[in-house]
Amino acid sequence: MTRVRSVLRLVVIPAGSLAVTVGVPLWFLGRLPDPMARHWSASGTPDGASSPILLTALAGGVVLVVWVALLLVERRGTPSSASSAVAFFLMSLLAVLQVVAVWANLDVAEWPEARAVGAPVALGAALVAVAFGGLGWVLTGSGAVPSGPAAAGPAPRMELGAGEDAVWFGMAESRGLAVLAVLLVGVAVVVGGVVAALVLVVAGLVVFFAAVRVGVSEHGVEIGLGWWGWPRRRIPLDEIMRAEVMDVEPLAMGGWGYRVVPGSMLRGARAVVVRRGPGIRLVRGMRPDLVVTVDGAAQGAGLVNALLERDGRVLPPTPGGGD
Amino acid sequence: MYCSSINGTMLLRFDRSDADPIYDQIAASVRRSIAEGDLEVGDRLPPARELARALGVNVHTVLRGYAQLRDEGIIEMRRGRGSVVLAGGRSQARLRSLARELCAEARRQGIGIEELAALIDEEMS
Repeated sequence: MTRVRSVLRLVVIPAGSLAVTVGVPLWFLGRLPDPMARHWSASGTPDGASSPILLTALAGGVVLVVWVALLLVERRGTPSSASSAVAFFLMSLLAVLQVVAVWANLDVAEWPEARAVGAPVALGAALVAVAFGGLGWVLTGSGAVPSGPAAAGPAPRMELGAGEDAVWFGMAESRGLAVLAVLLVGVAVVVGGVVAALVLVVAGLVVFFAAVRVGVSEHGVEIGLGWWGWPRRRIPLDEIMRAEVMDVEPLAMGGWGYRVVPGSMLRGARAVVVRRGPGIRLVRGMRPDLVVTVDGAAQGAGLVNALLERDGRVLPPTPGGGD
Repeated sequence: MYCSSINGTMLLRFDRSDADPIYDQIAASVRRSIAEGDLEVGDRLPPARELARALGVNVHTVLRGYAQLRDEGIIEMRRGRGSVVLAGGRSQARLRSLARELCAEARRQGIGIEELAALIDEEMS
């Protein structure tokens, strides 16, 4: 059963998407205008065209890249429902849009005469893609989810002299997410129309979570999204009990981006995850903990604890820091 | 003041009892960490606005500190690209840091400028 699922998920459906994306336009190549309509205005009339071969190569290339990414994730032993869902969504979306484009252009003499593709068709295509995404989610199953978040690490402490003050800045960035955003913009350009707007919104969200900036000072811990550090949020020191270093495993935190951590391990902690690796966990009393991935986490957490200690807060003896 | 940087992260320490203006302290801290090799050529200083928020001071105060470093040829300030440590910055920063330390020590010992100058003169020859 698991084997059938894996074959479906890793071979049959990706190969099917690729076959449709590339095969359908090539099969009907003789009955398509060159250039063919590939972009429709919001009112449904065609307003952009390119060579069928170029269009097919681009769409097929994107499907191929997504497929390779799916296999790489599998090889690392970290498949997740979310990654399969996103991959299936993208692949099936491209396949369906290719079919729609071929249907609209079939047997017309010049691309401006192509059949109208309005919002209902675009929405239908998006729904089919969402359905495939859901299928990917289901096929991955629960067995693939890794074994829960890494144990909370120690709470480092920085030495701070009596009259001394300090501020700390750190950031984390993900090249992978940046590339994904660029890829999505590419998809939007290729598909055009209403779906492109949706894909662009997703690309925008991805860019915001491709980097995070963290600042620590006596005024609290400030977390800002993106390379530009906005929108940002400040957690005052008096809301924090202590800071710990932890090794963040995105798939155990529920994925990338802003997360409410599933399961009971971190008591519904909130997390800003841009990459795998070290992060700071702010343990708060009444409120949920806050986890943020950041380079140099030990130094940042150390300063938080030093500032807390200076304020006369007695830190509970860590290591282990379990709740 | 003291600061250090590890790939994009940066720690700035300063003395709250220091009588120098904040912008002088900011400049001195960056200078020292460059001199000690904690900040390297090409490293980026935190955006002035971010540092100002963290220190609870006006952004112009921070920019004044950065401008001081720029005028000394230690950093380069580029609109939109932030402030970056320059190649020649290291030796400049080291000299400035040492001079600053020397002057502070002289002041502590009650040594006047002439006596200090004589001392330097003696060392140089």
